[in-house]
Amino acid sequence: MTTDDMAVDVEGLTKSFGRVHALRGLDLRVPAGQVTGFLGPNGAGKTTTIRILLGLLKADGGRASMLGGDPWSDAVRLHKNIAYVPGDVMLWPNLTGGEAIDILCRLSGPLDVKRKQTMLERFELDPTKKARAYSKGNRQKVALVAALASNAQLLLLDEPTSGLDPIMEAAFTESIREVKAQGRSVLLSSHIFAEVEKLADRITIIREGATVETGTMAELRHLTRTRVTVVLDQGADGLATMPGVHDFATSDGHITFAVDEAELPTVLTAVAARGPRSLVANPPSLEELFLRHYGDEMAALSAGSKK
Amino acid sequence: MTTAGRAPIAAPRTTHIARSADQRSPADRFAGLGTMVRLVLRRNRVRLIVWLVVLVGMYQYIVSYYKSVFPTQQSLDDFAKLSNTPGIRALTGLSPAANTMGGAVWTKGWMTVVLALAIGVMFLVTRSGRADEEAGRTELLRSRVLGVHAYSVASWLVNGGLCVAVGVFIALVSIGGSLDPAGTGAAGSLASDSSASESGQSPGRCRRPPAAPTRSARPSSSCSTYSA
Repeated sequence: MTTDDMAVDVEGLTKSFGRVHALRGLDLRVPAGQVTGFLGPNGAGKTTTIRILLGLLKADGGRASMLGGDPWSDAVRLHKNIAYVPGDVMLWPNLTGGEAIDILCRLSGPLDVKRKQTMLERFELDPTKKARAYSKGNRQKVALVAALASNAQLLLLDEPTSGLDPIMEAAFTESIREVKAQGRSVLLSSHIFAEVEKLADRITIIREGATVETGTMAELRHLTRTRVTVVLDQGADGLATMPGVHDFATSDGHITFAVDEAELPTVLTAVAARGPRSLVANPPSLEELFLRHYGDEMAALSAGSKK
Repeated sequence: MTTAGRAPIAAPRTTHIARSADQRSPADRFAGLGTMVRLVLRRNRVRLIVWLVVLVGMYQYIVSYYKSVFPTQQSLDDFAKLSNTPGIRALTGLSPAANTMGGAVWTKGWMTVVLALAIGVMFLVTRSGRADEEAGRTELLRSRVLGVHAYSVASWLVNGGLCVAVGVFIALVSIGGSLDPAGTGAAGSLASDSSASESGQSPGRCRRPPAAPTRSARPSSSCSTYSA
């Protein structure tokens, strides 16, 4: 893919705050018209990256381009086509939610009243209340409505659903699908794996300021194991020793094991020959993939402390 | 580096951003100014009106009160004599025409009104500046089409407007109270107007970026002292 197809193209981005290295050569690409999930533990550098993309912070090194421009020097021009939702929305206590939305929308161009109304209804937000009366979730909705009421080509969402109830999360999911259907791009940083898994076409996992994994869900699942739970009529003799079978365990007639992706057909054929009464096969969830990366780090840290 | 010994972490890369990207376009610096003026006005509309009414009302009160306290030229002369002592002069300054009604009101009211206005503007500048930034409210604004100076200039314009309004109303009160000595027209009243407007704006100027940014939302003391 060429750079033109990328809404965001970041390569080797570095940023330090004094002696703290927040970003150490981070790579991130958001293809145009796609939703890219952005995952990482707390303090991994997600928000720093998004702030650099917004031109609020200046990168120390590396290359960052967004919608074909430089996020720092072209900030004002680029922001016409960008909508941002932070994870913690702060509003002016004596302004109503509606006034805050109007101010934010008016800054980015003419306000689309009809669209705003649709979003207000979808997120069930009362725009006549003062911001000081809003809960965390409602403040979050103000930023979401302001972002989704715009025609922005790129949405930068930094944990946008924090504080939202499950019904509103569903409304959010619906909205992002619409955005994607219109060919607009989304960078979705989130801690809710199910949400990212549902929405994201591509996923980038970062740790300590560097990209550790990037690709589609299918690519990330490559070389991972599928977890299988079966109840077999004819016993599980020999299954445990088959190549590619790991973590074999039996409890209460239920046999559970993990299978390498490559061995899955062979193992399932063997399972079929043993008369399965029930079979559940789960591909690794994003959460498991994430925890695997995060788990490595924990292992490395504990190994380091043993030395 | 503090992270020696953590093998899996990549060392920071040293590629540098092109020089041309360092500068932001000057044309963009004031983008969104109109919307920001509206925001500052909307946020502070009650405060602005209260400051205006209180300051002008205080001045009007001094005018009507002094007219009843100093009904004769003799009493004004006595007040002028009292005002010309070092202690009072240091506190209020001395009017060039201290023995007129206008001079007496000036001696009593000018310093009070101007200092109060200066302090009020300082609060307002902070409220729409660092206080907003520290609360994280500017982040959403800055993610939109907003020039780097638009918010501070909007705040300066609104506060300047308050100062001018206070000055104009003080001039009107002075003219209305016939404070100008005979034969000088409205010169004295207009002088009060411009001096009040100017002095009120001085802290605003001191605290306005790109002057050295203060580290906290507290008013900087160097700007709050005012010498008459």
